[in-house]
Amino acid sequence: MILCVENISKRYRIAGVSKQILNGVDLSLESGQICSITGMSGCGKTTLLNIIAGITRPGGGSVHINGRKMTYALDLIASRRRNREIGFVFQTFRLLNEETVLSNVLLPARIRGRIGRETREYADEILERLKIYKFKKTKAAILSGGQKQRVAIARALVNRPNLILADEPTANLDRKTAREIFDILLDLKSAGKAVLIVTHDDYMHRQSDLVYTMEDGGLRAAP
Amino acid sequence: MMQRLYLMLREVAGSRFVSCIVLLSVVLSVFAVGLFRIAGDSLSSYIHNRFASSIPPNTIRISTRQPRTLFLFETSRPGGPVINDRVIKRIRAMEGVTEVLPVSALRIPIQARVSYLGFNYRSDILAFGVPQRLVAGELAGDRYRRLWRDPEREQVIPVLIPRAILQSYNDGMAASNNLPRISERGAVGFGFRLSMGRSSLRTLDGHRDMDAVVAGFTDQVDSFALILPLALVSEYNRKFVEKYRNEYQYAYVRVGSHAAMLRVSPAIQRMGLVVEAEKGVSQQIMKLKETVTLIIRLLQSIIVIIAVIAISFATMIAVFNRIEYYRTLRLVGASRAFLTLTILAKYLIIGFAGAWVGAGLLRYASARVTECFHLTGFMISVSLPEDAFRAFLLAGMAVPVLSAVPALVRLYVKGLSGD
Repeated sequence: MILCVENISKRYRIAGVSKQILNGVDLSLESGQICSITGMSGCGKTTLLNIIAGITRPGGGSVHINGRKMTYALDLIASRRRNREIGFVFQTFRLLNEETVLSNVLLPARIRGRIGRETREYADEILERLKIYKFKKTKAAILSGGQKQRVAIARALVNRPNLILADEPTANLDRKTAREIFDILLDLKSAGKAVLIVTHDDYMHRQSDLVYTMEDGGLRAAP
Repeated sequence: MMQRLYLMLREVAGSRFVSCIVLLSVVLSVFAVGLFRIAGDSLSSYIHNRFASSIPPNTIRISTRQPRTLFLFETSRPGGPVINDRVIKRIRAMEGVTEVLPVSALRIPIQARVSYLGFNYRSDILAFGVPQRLVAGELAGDRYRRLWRDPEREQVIPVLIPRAILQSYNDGMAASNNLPRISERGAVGFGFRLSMGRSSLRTLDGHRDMDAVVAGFTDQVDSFALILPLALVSEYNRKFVEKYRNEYQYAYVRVGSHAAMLRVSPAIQRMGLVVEAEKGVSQQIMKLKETVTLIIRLLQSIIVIIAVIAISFATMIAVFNRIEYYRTLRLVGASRAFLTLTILAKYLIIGFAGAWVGAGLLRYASARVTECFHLTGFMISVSLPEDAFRAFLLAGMAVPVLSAVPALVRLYVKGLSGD
């Protein structure tokens, strides 16, 4: 099992009022599985992804990735696991616009502290697979939305993580481009990756192995 | 490791515009603070040169306490300590004292005999002995200076006459008795006889008549007695006075600075001696120096505060300007420690470079200004003192680094965790 979320809870204090965002969330994801989560804005979808990635500390419960419990107390260890075991794709792409495509893709590898020939070849391979190899030396700022999201996916893959977290990756894209991005994410399934995706897109829901709706702080299997 | 180092170096080059603003604020701050430091030092030096050095501190006159009296007569010896060699040595050891010049009374009968153009005049007189250093400027020539050191050399006693005596003679005695007025210039070198150990009242065994010569006139010793070499007076006192103890009637204490004048006077007073010193000028000069120093320090502090605020704001703006970049790094796996190290290293390098450039500019500018302007008495230091240079480098690095800390805290507490 790649991801195992057990009884996660999280409470936020917003405008002086304490609000339970997550309340006993359970989730399991096997290798090669795709899980999509939908829900209203502010229901806690991003918070759940941040907890899984080790960025936000949960109020209770535990997260296991690749069979090992996520440690929140030591930021150094949580960050190291986020860097090596998790790939993150965002709605706003989060690319370094002044950098080239290749430099963006290699960023997680640089933080890991290792860019050998093998890593560069692997980055080229991903760019080729995502059909953006020709933009390798182009500045990210001048790419289209779809191309930027492809670069973001390539960056998420460069350290060969087993788990990909995608937070509304197609929200800023048109329907056709969104479909292409979804197809790329679906392709990861064959590579044995587990993909957890937060989206409101019906096409993705239909393609996913697991579909959940987040309501009242918990996950409910969608019909 | 190399890749992490690469990311750190890239961070220094990143966001060039804002980094340049931080760099510029450090450069200008160091330049401004340094300028005030140099200006302050120059102004202090100007005051020192113009006032403190050119108006030397007055001499302190010390004496023993007044004895008790009954009608015309003293009933006891002066109270408190006497001025002897031990006391002189103690005062000489005080910080700021440059020299102590004792004055000793001749304690034997002495008579002067003047013969001039058939006119003979004989008078009992008083005499004081003083060291040559006290009256060196008033001895009219090298011959008299040599004689003052060694009267036996020519068997002639050099004598200094207080100007008060000359004035009293000219304005009082000469006018009322139809005698000629005596000029200072004409009187120098005038010879007469001194009877050491004899007066109209008493003659001591072994008294001796000696030639004497007027060696000049003096204002240094405020008395109506003739002024003789101290060594000679001590010798005659020892020779004729039974159980003679080498005690001085008073002494002049010279100090090196106005600050020393204000420090030494009360210290001598605490020893039980009477102190007469004109401290007014010293107090005014010290007050002027202190006021100017205070104003300079105040201005320097204001400039430092403004500089720190400017650098702090520039640094905080720079950190927040890069917040999206830091968020991205964090989301793809950068730890807080790595980010903190990267950001602090960036501002350490910028601060160091800025301080170095600022201090360099200051050195260059002060050198150019010194070349171009020559203000009388106003010396501008060409080079920044080494300790100030080191302090600027340290502060130039520390201020941006410390200013980045609140921004980092805010970054981690509020800004970095969510997308």
